[in-house]
Amino acid sequence: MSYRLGVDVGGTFTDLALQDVETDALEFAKTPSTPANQAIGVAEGISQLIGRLGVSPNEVKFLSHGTTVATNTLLERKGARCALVVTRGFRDVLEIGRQDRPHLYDWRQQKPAPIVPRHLRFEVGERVLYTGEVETPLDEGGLASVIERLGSAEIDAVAVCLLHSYANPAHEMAVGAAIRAALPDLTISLSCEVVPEFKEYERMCTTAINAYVAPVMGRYLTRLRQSVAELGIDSELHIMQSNGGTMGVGAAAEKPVHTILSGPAAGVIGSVAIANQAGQSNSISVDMGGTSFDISLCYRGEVRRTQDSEIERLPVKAPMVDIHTLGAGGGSIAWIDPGGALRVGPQSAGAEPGPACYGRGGREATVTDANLALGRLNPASFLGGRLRLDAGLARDAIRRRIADPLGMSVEEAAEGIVRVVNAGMIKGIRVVSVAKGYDPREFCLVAFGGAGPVHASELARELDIPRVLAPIAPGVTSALGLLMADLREDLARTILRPSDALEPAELNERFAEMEAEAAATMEREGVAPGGVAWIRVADVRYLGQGFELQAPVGAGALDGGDVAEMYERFHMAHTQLYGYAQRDSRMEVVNLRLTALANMPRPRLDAAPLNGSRNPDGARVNARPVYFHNEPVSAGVYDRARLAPGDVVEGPAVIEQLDSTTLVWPGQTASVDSYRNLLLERVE
Amino acid sequence: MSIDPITLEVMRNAFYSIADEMIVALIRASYSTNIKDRRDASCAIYTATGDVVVVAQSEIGTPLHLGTMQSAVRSAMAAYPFDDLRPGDAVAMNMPYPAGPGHLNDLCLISPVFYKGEMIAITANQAHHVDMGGFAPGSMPFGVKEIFQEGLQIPPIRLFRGGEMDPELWSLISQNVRPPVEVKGDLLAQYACNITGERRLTELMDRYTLETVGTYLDEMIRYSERRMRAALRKVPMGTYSYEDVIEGDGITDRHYAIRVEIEAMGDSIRTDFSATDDAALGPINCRWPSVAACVYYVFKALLDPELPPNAGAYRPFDIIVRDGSVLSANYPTSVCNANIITTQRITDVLLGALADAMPERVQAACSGTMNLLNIGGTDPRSGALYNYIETYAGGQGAMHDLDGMDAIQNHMTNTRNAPVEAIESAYPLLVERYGLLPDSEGAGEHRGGVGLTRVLRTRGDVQLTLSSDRGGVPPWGLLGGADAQPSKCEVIKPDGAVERLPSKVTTSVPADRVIVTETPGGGGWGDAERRDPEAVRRDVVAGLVSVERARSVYKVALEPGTLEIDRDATEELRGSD
Repeated sequence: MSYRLGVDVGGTFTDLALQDVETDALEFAKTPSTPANQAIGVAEGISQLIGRLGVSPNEVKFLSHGTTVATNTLLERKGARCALVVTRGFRDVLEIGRQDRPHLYDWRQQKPAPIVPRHLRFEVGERVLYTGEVETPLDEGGLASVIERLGSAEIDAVAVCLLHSYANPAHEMAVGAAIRAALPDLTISLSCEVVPEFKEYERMCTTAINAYVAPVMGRYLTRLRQSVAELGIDSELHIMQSNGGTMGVGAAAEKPVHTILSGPAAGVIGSVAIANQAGQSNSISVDMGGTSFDISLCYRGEVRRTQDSEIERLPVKAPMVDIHTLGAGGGSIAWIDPGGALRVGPQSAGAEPGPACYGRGGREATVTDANLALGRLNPASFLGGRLRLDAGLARDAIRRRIADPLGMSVEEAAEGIVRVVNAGMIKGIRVVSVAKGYDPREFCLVAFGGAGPVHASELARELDIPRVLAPIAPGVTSALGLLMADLREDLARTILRPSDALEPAELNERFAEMEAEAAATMEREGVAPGGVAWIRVADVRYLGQGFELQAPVGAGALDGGDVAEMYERFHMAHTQLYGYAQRDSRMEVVNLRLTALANMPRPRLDAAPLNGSRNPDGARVNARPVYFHNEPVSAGVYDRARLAPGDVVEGPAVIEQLDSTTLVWPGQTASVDSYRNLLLERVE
Repeated sequence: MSIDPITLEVMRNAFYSIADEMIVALIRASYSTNIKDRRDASCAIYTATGDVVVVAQSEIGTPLHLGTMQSAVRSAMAAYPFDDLRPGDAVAMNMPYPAGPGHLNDLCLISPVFYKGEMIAITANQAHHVDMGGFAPGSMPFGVKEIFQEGLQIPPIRLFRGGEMDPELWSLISQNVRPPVEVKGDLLAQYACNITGERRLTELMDRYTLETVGTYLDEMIRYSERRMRAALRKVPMGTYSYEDVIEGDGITDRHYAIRVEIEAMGDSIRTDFSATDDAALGPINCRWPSVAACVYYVFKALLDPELPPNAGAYRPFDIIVRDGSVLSANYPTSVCNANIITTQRITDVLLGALADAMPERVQAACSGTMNLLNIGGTDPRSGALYNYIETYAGGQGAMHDLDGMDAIQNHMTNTRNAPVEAIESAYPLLVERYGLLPDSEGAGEHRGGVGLTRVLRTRGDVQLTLSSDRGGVPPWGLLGGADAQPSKCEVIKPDGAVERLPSKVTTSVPADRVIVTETPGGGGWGDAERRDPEAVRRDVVAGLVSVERARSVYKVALEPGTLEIDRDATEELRGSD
């Protein structure tokens, strides 16, 4: 027997998914996370799961892992003591950033402190130009004295980012080599290796974050390998990257900045896999938990990715699954602003004291309180019955905070709270879809998290999204995603070349260079050359523009025709996004990007035959009044676990399961597909 | 139709969603660095009668445009027959006279939104074009006295007809601007922005009906008025005044005083600038909309930073300027640098006056100038004309409980810098230094932020315009806090000879000169001797305050080498006063 295992560590729970490679059967588990040392929780979870199923450790042939170590290290500012070496004259680039203040009107909002404090930022004499030409040679004597100061600075890591190193990395590599020779214990991050792309602040900040996180990540991965080996598992470890693909442990230790969104990326990959399998190749995934709402978009089976992102106002230039996060969740607090409008969030009651209905002293009216007051949640079965909700407390909070001041009934106020929180989420979904040129009517809304399937139908209706998918096990999507991911390497080169000065030979040379580099990585991970798929893309803009659009580039040796086709794809992309193209303008190719993908054997989710009866009565528990449009309507209550493929539930209805609740509106049906997903659609 | 607070919030989200999508379209599709990277652009949704309702926010727009966009649309509607417009049309205008954008660069593009054949709203945006012709590259020269010299004046004209740019009008404009390709690209981006707004508003009306959308556009205005009036009640009733100066106008060195008297009257405010000096010869004058923008900005920032700014939020204000003064110049007096210089000083005098009323809310003076540097010429690499334009950050003023931030954009601007690597690839310039400027902060119990320095080397002959201020009269501190270090700009010849430039100048600079700019710090708050010695030590360790300055100004003695605080010596220094 052989098994594949995915382990995703979240803030509260560690989720596991185990796949039997022969039968494709899946098993899931959830154990508490151990934030101080995540490796402990991982090992406990694994031994519980394989113990329960009687799987022998040496039968686990593949282990994939999503981790929040890099994210937490950055967010909590608990990284290494780290220095930075830069070109003379540019010590403060990291601190000045883009010079804009965080809020136009609120002077009290502060910029984040730079990752490396000023006294640990060192300058070295040298200068390279944007052409790659050396204007001033590297000052070896000056470098020696910088290294001396690094040696006495009590640091664990150092980042090096010299101007224009994307065009000519020679000086940066020489600085790196000299530091390594003199101070072999330091972790060194070079910008030309972490992110060889132009615009110095973003490159410098990304490199500094990498250096800051690397020693912590290195220690964690060492511990994790040890714990896993002690369990008797000898499989290689794969780490989920922010781009939705995995990488080896060695690469993760060297470039931990690529794991900043490890867990959320796994969730998106899982949700997309489920949607694709259900035949929904265009999907918008929303994950609504207690405090946040994450949105991502997948078009024609491909997850939308971005090359630039911000974490806590710090730029991170690394390919990532494009996830848009809002401060909206079940715990979001409702309030009335000075202009008399009803508002919800971004303040959240969190887990403690939590919504008023938790009975832990929370006095604010939250979204969860509103859903409870409307009958949409079951007080007895919340979180699988682990927490009993108090509807009386919820109604009191809503009456005091909202209904009385606005002169309306508790139910009207509750429905208002839901509409308002939905309005913010709708705006967020528009940002990732409509604002980027995607028409929601071509998409399926995939709803995750405890609260996602409660709100999804209303979101879909407002956005004209025709159907909603609520997957079978919303709580373990990330762990499932880990089993669905490819081994992936994203590389980029900045070339900054006007279209009339770019020869196919240069493109061929640069792509060949990157392909050699990626092939070597894949080989280290045990992938044969024939097993790698390549995706080539060029970032193109009209000469003078500041944003690039991605144009796919053909495979193999390129000729003039291929290049012309690349430009044509850029014109088309520009037209789709902005409504016009300027075919008579010169263009500029800014970056070339290469993605290397190695397919991993992934589980085929089990398709069961539809039972044809369409009758869900076997799963019907009872009925209760639920408010829709300020009217109580008797809604059927169903147990999700007892619904069979082919069953069709007619709204109004509430479908309950351990970790979530799906609300079916009047005039809507929820059908169970052959993968046990719920598909919600409006009845024509 | 009755208003309910829930639909109000739902509509508010929908409107902002549209405005934000508009600004994203504008920025992403634009050509010039100035818009695409520095984001010197704003956009908004208006009622059909020209009241601004929803201004795209998300830290993108500039506060200056908030006041001027309302006036631009109003002026355009007064001068142009909007009834003649058809779907797909758009009206362009850039004239500060009689009321409109602050200078000719800020071209405003205005599109009617039609629904079932009826004009039911307006979308408009304003973007800073890199050049509008005139005396010098960048169209913000010094040495000029009339707006005719500043550049091309575009009265309201129908630049787009049925979705296409009018070829004859474009031919006229393109002949009068230095980089026609960039200007055209930016105009198309401006058009894309308005079309995006129109398309989304139409979809919203399809969903919610014209009546609902119209009703809630109007309600948004009343909502902001209610919020602004509620906020204004926090200002203690009374009369407050202040004055400050602008140093010269590029022609004379005399100081021009800006004077304000503020009367807080409960839920309304009167700001009277009548006592301000007569208009300058050079282009530091402005018109009423720029003054109004500063007034709205200051009260929103002080009282309710999240308040949605629109026509309703403006209603509680009575803003008085005197014709013929710096703040209400008569046609055709030059105005092109008021955005950069004068608006910052208007903000300063407003805050200076309100310091008496609300010391716990105001800031000490920020850098007080946008330090605009404009360098143009022929690129020796390609033979093409180019134009580099950038405003430099400075120190932020301290508050009663916070240090000012270092090297950051203040008040009426929040444009981003140009990356060094982008400057060098796009222009024949070499950046030799970009960094914080130690010891430039206004000392205080809470210190102001430090300014910055940018050092450029020219690689060809250039025409340079410096538009700055605070070269002599420094940004002031409050409640015993010290003034900050003033600004400076010097040109260094290859033989090392240094020439200091006046703060406002248009001049030629040959190749291989080094241009050193230093921006002012921010003013301090409270007595420097009361500053926490630990905070002083941190600044010294960071290299932002020298050991000598720690001792002489903050009265904190640090051990040489270790930089530990010498408690006894510090006590002695501080006790000796």
